[in-house]
Amino acid sequence: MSRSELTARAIAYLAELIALALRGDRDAIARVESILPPDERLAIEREQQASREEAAEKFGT
Amino acid sequence: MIRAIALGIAVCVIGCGASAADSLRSGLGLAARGVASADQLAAPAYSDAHDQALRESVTMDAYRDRMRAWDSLVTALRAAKFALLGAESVIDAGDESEWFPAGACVALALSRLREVARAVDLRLPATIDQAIDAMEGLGGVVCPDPS
Repeated sequence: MSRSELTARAIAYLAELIALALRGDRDAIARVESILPPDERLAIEREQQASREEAAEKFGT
Repeated sequence: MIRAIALGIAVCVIGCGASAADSLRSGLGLAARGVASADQLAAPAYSDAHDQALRESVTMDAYRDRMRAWDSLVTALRAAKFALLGAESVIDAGDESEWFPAGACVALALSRLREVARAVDLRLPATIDQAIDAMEGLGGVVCPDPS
């Protein structure tokens, strides 16, 4: 991607963020910690643990 | 150039009645939604890869080799999550000089996520590409080395 394309995309993204802020869209500025709780594992982390336990059972390790 | 534009827009946002911090929080929130969506897409795909690897492997080492790229994806998703949480903490702390480096760390983590997702042919939500483009566009800012 060229620098000018990158510039255009960055500006478009920032403009979108500003529009959300100006609309006072509180949902759009939900806190990261409410979307990705720090003390809660990701779904893929839970899958990984379950998969490893199953593999350990199969291979006897 | 982009950094100057971003700062200018941030100033405009303040003048228009919304805070720059709110605007940055919106960006982090959108990126966080992208990571959460990626996690929801990746989890069943990981499970499918595990089923196949388990069937095709006769030793634990062979299984681990087959799952290596998927395990990298788990690490990348986790790193992206904590980069976003860290950036949010930086905004909460209120020191504006730290905002751009925190954004660079988010961009680095999301770029790594995109790289490992490609390695397993997982298509990520467009929000992640947009967030990477915007944060990489803050040219010249680097994620500080914690060491």
